[in-house]
Amino acid sequence: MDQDYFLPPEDQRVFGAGISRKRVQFVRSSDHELNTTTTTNRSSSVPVTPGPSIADRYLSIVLSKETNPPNQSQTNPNFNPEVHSAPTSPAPSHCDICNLPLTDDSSLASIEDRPHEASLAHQVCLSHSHPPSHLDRTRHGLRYLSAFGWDPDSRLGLGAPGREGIREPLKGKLKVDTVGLGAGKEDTDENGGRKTKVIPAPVKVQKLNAKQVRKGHSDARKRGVKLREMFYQSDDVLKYLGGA
Amino acid sequence: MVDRSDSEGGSRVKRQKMDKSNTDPRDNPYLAHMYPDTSNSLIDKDSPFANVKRHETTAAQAKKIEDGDVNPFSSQPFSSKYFSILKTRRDLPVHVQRDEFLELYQKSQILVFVGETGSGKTTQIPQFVLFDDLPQTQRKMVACTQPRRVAAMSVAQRVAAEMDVKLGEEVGYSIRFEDMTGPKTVLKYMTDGMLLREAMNDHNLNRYSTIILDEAHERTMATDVLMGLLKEVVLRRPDLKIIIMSATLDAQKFQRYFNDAPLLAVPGRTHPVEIFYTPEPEQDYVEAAIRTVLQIHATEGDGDILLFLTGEEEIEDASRKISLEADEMVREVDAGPLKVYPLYGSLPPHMQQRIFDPAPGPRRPGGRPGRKVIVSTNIAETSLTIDGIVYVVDPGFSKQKIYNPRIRVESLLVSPISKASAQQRAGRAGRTRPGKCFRLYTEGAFKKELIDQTYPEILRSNLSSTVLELKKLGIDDLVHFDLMDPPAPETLMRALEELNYLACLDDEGSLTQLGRLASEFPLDPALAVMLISSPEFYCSNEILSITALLSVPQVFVRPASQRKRADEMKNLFAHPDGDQLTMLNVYHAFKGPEAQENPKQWCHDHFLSLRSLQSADNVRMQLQRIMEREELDMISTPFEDKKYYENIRRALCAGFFMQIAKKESQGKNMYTTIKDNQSVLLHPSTVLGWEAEWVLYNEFVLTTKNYIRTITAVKPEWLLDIAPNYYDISTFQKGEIRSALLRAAERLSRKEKMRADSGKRR
Repeated sequence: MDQDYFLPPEDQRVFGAGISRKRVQFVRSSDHELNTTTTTNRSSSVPVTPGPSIADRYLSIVLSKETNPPNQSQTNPNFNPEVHSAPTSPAPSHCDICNLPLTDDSSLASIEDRPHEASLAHQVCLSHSHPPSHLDRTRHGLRYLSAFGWDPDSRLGLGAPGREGIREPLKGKLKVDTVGLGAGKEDTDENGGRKTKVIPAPVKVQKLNAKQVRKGHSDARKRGVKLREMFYQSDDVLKYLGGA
Repeated sequence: MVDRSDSEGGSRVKRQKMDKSNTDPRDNPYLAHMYPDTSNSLIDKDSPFANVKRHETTAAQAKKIEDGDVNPFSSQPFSSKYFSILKTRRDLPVHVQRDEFLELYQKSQILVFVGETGSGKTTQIPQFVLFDDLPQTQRKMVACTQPRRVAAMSVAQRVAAEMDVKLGEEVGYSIRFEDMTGPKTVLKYMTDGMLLREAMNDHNLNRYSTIILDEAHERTMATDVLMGLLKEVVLRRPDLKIIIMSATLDAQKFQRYFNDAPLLAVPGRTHPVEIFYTPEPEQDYVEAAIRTVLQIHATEGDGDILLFLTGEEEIEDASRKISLEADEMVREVDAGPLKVYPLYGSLPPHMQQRIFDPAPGPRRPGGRPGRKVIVSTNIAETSLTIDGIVYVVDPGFSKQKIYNPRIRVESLLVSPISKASAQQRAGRAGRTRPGKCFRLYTEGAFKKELIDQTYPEILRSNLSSTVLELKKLGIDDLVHFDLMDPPAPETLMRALEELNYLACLDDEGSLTQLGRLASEFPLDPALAVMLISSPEFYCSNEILSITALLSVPQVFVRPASQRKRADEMKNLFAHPDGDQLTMLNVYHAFKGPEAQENPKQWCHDHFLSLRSLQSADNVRMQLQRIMEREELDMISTPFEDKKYYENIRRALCAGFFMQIAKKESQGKNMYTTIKDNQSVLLHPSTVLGWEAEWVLYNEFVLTTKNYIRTITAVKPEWLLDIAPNYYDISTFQKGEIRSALLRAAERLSRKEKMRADSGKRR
């Protein structure tokens, strides 16, 4: 079911309204902070070092000349131990979050070419943080429910724990015609992709009386004259006629 | 809203006096359940029950007592009629499994019982329980709830006959506005709403030893709340036994809900039903339904037809068309005669009874047999059982209530039915012999478009009266209250807010004095609050009449053939300020000597519904009794006073201040509802004689256009005065409504200032 149907525009809260209630969870990266920008370096950490990388070059330009541009010899001992610090010591263990073995195998790392936390498997297993609920936090009813421990951002309905109910009110659909069940929709068959033809309901023909018909005709004629004037009337001719 | 401390104090004194005068509560029959006897000492030695032990009886023992000479409940000899009924009772499918039932019943506190229609569960199971539970020895009762008033009454009558006792003595019933029980009652049929009301004053339901919730599959609001409540009560009362009776497939859901209670299933007595679908979706289900009925009549063997449609208008229209076509068929191809009976809730009872007439016979001896067609809403799906139906035509729609808490509108919408309901409808064809069900949709649509179960009422309704009831039941934690299908948080929030504005709940959410009083009335909280505050406006008599009139079906009748005449008659009673006042005029005229001479004729002449007016009269009497009990004054402004009608309109505002619309400056006749900002039109039925700036409405009707119905003109000053919390101007967004309210506030303060000034001068 479409859970978030017609959110009333005035109830739309500024994004971030519920952030103080539900913190966005972060996992500490096992790498050095800067690492995200210099991941390419890690591959070079193995044997071949083709001189300073582009990032290093960039830093050397941006940073003042006094500070040493971070070169290979400094960075490598800096973060290599850190990469291994989290998973290291007690043998290759499993990641807490995705339950996959953490390999410090350099060969694998070179294939993957990125830290374990960046792997798809790990990312999928991270708990997703949802945007906060649209409910107006100042509502009296919400205050009551919150007092009894209901969290609007929890994406849970009411009811006994483990048997929560619906989260959004049921929606009704107004039906004013007598079209039968299943009709009026494009019904594609699995086999042939056959579409049932939707026959439009016969349009009610409105009958006019003589007066209305006459009026219609005269209106049409007037409209015609007006159009002709707009297209074909030229000032020269008018002037000529008027002058004549 | 008002200081009631005086009257409160007064009533307390009175009650204390009464307590003192009551010497021994043990003698009070109403308190009998509080002093149970554990032994069977209440039973005479020669009573048939003397030799059986409670909760250890068997079917054989019960049979022996039933076959005896003396009625074990009334101690009178059995009549001959009793034995003839007994014989038919023993043929019912449930009877075979009596031992099995007793075993499970004795073993477990909660039991789920599944019996299809026709198994005899509603009449027999409570009697099985009586013979084992022996509630009379505990000075308690067995209760059996029904979702509908009519069912409670008719079943009680039937069971009284089966047990050979007088209705209202050992077997009785209790429904809203009618109590048919006595001190000797041991088995009480009642509506589920009634049991809920009793629970409000007796949280543990101490008067009952066994509670049977019948037709639980219908999932009415009251049954759902009762189930949640009983789940808590059984923990506090280990001696209380509960039986949940359901007629359908989803029994496992009940079982799981009641912590895996044991389940007993009894097969019904049904015949196979062949089901047909259409190969293609139908473009017009009404037309398809009519053609199907005529086709059955022309080609199928004899047997009656049941056609399900959605509403009164559709049913009347289809009935007329079927009759016309059938007449033609009789003339042209010598088909058998066809009789068509419409059936819907607002049809008068004698017209409803006609559906039980036998089908017409052949037109001439040896001709083709006749047939009857019943065109019905879904009341024929569960509530009414009509024998002789062999063919069912099911277009797959019914009118269902739905509540939108965002705009606070409850509406009846034509919606697709559920799979369960479709099966129930089909089952109606197999009551007497194998039947056929013609579904006017494809098998694919059945599988894909229909939901499994109809949504329970609690998910589709405004919850304000339920929340008030729950609060009165002592349930504060509405978040974790264990309902089978908890409602959406927004719906509950709306209800809490509405009750807060009505001052039934305070800002902390606890029940106020007014809320407690309002819960005494079997009314919507807004109506109850209006009634309670009416003495402040010196018009409680009039508001009581209006409340009663608003609680019954429409009093004005407008037959399609005589609309003009009906409108003329309605205009005789019209009050320019609105429909509620017009209804009041009608009621006063109805109670007048001229009308009372021959009410039936008078109502007929004036296009009024006698039945509605009579039931309004009855409801008014019942409500008046409650008002007197709660010591609310019955007063009226003298009719000659020019404020007579104004006072009534003000009093209406006290309950309906949340249902107000203001005229839009642009757009002809367009109004905007306050706070919800919905564009609405005044319903064409209104008598309101002028384009009032502010109107109060009773009902929001959702069709292609939004209408408000039953309208009274009001003034914004009254609203600011009566409901300052709701009309807190600072909470309104900039716009027409806000500026109009500001102007009204200014007028109000100027007036007050003038009054104060003139007071000083004196």
